[in-house]
Amino acid sequence: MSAIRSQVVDWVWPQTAEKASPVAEEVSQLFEEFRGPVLRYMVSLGLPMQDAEDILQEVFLSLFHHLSKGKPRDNLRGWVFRVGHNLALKRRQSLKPTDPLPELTLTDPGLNPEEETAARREQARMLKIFAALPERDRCCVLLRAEGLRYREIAATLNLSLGTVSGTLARVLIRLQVEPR
Amino acid sequence: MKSHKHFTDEELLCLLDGEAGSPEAMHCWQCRVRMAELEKSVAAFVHLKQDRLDVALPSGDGPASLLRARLKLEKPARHYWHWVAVGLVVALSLLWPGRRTVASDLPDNRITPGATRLIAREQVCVLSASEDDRKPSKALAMQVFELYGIRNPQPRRFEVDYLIAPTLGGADDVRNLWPQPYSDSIWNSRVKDALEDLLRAKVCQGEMDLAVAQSEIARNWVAAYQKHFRTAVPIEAHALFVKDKPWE
Repeated sequence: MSAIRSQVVDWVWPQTAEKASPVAEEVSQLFEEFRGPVLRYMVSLGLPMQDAEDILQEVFLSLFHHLSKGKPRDNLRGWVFRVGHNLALKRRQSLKPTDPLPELTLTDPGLNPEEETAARREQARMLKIFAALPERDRCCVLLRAEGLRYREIAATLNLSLGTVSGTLARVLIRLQVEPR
Repeated sequence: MKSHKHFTDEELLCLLDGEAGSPEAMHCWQCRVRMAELEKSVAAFVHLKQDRLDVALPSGDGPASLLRARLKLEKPARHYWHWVAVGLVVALSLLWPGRRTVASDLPDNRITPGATRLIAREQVCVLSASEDDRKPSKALAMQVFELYGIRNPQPRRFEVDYLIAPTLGGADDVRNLWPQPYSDSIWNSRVKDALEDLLRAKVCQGEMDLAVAQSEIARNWVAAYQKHFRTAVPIEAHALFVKDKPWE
């Protein structure tokens, strides 16, 4: 038995030791920080997860070159979202239309059946309104929901600050919760 | 008495989002009520997003490792004199064309160190023929080409080969794959296939430890071939040996 056990291996052979450059280190850290929000945003634009992951790699390789050339490093989050947004739209053009959004599932244990039905109805109403919005407006709200500041949203979507604030207010009014 | 001018929805939202002033400075009850309504809409949208729009994200470990590996291969931006030098080299290579290779006899150890599955010698020796024919998926193959900087790989020129063959416990992992040329070198994929068969036979006949076979092939398969076949150059029959299909 021990002879068999000694044959069991499950590992990666050691790599040649090579230290990553400081810029590469920084880009890796930014990847850890921004991956979730950017990936969610790209998927919400209608990209399959695998395509979104591929694009994300391209975005951060571009970021590496951007930083290596000593280009501006202010508003890097806006930069990452902008490049991701542009590449995602480009990739989406080459894909078939995606499936509609899945059916609503609410699992809040604090809601009684009546409240749950009302909440489900309310979300369905909002979803319908949200789906009917122009894409630019949807992107504005989704980016804000991912925590971007107005100037970052403006940089991502190539809009003015006034357009961003006006759009957000207009969308929220349309989505406004109906009194029960 | 001066009439009070209420904030617009846009102004209220800017206050809420911290983009303009502080909401605490607002004294008008009507404006505060309106602000609370907007805030309610924000909360409702956040719940909608969490319930309906957000997808579960897969683990980021794999993508982060892949990015780190790719960053190691990326060269930082160069100054113009570098491109002048590159231009000269290209011009000279066009004037005196020699043998050009995009992949070499041995994989880049930083990209392809070799990876193995959890498997025992006994299991290796009863692996079916299908294991022998195992090929990486096209997506994985494209990932390998990309890591090696090969754009538009030509069909029938490369075999995206396992460094440690699946028949020797090699894993279906990007760290165990590299684009091996068919014809650029005497040390091509056909020759390596012959070595894989020999090592597996030795392992199954108890002449060699599985881990040693894996290690030798991962570290330098050319040296392993020379050692086991006792020759400095590939045996002629092995150069014609056809086992795996080329990448297409």
